Amino acid sequence: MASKPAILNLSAFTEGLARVGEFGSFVGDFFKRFWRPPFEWKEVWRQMDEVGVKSFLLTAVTGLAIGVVLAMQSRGTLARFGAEAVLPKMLALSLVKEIGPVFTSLVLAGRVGAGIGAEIGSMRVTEQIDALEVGSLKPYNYLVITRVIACVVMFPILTVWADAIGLFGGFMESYIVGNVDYRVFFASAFDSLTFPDIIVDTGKTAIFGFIVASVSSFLGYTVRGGTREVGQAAMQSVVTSILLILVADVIVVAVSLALFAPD
Amino acid sequence: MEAARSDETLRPATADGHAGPAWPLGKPWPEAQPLGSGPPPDDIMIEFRDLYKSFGEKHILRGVTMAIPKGVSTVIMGGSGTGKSVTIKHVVGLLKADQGEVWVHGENVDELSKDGLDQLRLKIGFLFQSGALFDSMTVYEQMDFVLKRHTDLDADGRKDRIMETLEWVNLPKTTSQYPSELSGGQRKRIGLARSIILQPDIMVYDEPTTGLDPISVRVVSNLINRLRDERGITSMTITHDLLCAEMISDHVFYLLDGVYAESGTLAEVAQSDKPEIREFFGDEYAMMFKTVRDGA
Amino acid sequence: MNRSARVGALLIAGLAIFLVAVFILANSKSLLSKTRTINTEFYNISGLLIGSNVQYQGYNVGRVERITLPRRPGGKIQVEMKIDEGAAHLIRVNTRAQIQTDGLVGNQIVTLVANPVQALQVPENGRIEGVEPFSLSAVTDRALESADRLDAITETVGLIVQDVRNGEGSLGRVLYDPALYNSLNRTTATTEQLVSTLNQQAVVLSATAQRVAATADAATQNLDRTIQNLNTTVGTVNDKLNSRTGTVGRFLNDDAVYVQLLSTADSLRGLSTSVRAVARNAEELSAWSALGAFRFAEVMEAAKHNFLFKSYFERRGYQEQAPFEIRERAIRASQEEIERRQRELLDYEQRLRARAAAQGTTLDSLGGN
Repeated sequence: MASKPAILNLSAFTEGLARVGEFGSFVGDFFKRFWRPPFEWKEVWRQMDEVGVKSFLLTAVTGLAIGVVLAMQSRGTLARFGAEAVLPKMLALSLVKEIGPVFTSLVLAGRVGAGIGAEIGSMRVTEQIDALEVGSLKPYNYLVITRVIACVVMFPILTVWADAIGLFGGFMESYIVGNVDYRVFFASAFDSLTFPDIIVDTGKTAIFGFIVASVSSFLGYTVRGGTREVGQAAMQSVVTSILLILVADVIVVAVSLALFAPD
Repeated sequence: MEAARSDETLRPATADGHAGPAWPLGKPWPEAQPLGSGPPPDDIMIEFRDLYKSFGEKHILRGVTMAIPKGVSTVIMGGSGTGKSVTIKHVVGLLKADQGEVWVHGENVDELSKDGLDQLRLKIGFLFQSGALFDSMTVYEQMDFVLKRHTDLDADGRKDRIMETLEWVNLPKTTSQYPSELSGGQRKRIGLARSIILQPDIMVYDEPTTGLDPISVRVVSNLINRLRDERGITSMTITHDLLCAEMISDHVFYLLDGVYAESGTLAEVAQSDKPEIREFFGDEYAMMFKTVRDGA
Repeated sequence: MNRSARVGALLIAGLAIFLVAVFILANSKSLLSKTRTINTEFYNISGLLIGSNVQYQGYNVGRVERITLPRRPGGKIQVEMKIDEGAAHLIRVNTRAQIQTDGLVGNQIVTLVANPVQALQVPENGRIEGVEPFSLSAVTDRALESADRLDAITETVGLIVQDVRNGEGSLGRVLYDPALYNSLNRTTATTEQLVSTLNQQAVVLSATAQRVAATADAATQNLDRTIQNLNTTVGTVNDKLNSRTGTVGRFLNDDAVYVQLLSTADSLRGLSTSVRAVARNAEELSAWSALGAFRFAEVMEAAKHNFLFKSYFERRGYQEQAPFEIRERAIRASQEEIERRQRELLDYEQRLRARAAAQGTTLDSLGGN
């Protein structure tokens, strides 16, 4: 079979542009087909299980570790200036605003992105996607839309968990080291937060989820070749997702700062 | 192309011998209509008209023209990378022609709307090389998935249909198994069961017996024959497997350099003068056919 | 657990955590509770922002809701605050709003300063007076001036007491000498004047910590001396009274002496109250000085740990303890000293009163004879 797009006379740059264009129309398809049947609710549920429940332990451990480590690391610096009292505020702000959402998304990009890239990629090379296509089973709806929905829903949920567990980890550290009462800790922690913090910064992970799911699906969906290419697609899914998450974060933060000026 | 051979029977001389195809013996093999002449006659199920397809610089198909009548089992043979899979993917619209027309069931595949193509695809069963079973579903679930989406049957009706089909491929006990738990031959048979569960008129088989042991090859080949004989299904099969080709072929096309270099019964194609084809079949094989024919 | 249950549990619990967080946040930002809108105005809001905390005596009671610029140059900036309904009854028409810097982070907050004088509650959309954030340099001089005057007064008191103790040899002379009464009265008046001056600037603070500390220290020493003198005087008077010898009986039978004694006690009590007020103001002053010193300490501490400045500080031998730290401690010490003296003064006053009361009874019985 010779179905490899060998565009030899084009430079790598134009080929890259062509890929970006392809990705654009791939994402465009999402918004076109999202509204039309078939609605694969059962598969959405299965993907939520895959993305959410099966990543829970990972994000929980990540959150806990971040919370504890952040508290331990900050304590020394703050103590030098006699400002240990601001530790809960600092912890809550950095966890909820940036570290929680971004760390969770990056960890999930690793797990979920690779999973989606590899799964859809191998479905491509084993002709399962063709089989769905030929069976009029709308593989895009079945494979891509379900995963995008699952990620868009689950990323914020897992972020909330990671934030909460991270804050709890920070509290445990403060409790063990400084014997800080939980009411003091959480009152102080919540005192520093504002609504845009909690809503925008948690909500932005939905965008990250969209990025991870769509990029990974795209790279898996367009795999040509065999197992080696599937492996590459999985790797590229992770790398591209992570890069795009970081870029998107900059944009989201810039926009949210413009919209909700902090006090 | 030498498509028509009025002086020969279209039936190959196979050891099994099977019931006659819908295309009567002795009737000359039909010619494809010229480009732009509208739908082919009713008894022609699939027709390629001057089909061109290239991928980048690689020109795979360079003017493929052929007609496949109703109820006939056609086999496409040829070396690796000669465009056999590319040809059959045009039948179900997985690939779009660069030039030329593909007529299936009286409709021009490339001009169909999305919905039209979906409707047409329901009349075509496609057995992929690997079986292409959905990894995440059990045998029962993948068949149920197809039925749920495309029929109005209730749960009991679907169950009856699934069990009936599974029994037909003689694998009724695999319902709760996942594809990874099945052997290669079982996967092919489940793939076959899944592709016929909507009772199509046309079957396309992409190397149905590759990688199977001879017993499984016979089992699968017999199922293909039964589909033609019991249900009158028109089929296109890609195979390298001479045993399978012998068992199922009514008519053979040999693909060379992007066009059909030879067309006829397996015996005729095997005895072609073209060196590439002779090399494909081997001299002994051609001699065997010659002996069989001379003996008859 | 099957798939649906797993996913459902994760989703619901995740949403629940989110909602709880939102609820807590909403609660802490007074978005859900009833609030009362109260307005105030300042010429200068020192960078106050919408959403800044409003504190009543250090307790968070609301937020700044809106800040409106004046219509023409020189007008006051309008600040609208939302105060929790639970704390609204504490905000009276004579409550003052003041802009202060909150803690280490340096956020600007509005502080509501209570006035113990009874007044009506501020109604919804009512207005209270805003106290301008003071200008440091303007205040420092006045504070120091007051401190100097306190110094002078305590010295005067000291001299008077000295005279009393010497008494030119006779207690009767002392007690009848209008000079003492006048002198005490004068002292009281001076002190009260000082107190009122200080009160006018009560909120006014901060200062070059060193000078304030030094002055406060000197003042304390003088006060100390004064109180010692007073103690001695009282002791002498007591001795004389208790001995009931010589001319004492005459003194005690004389109504004029009694009246005089009482009025002296009253004056002294008044003085002590004033001194207490002075001490309170000094305390406030030193607290602000301490804050200033603390801020400075922070910067210096940071500088000391910065690798660029480290070697400099080490060379200067400042690594261990900075002068401001020593000064800070000195200020605190003198503050404690002032408090102690104040307690002693109070104690003395009570003793004097008790003695006077006791003698009063004796007087009556004597008069009966």
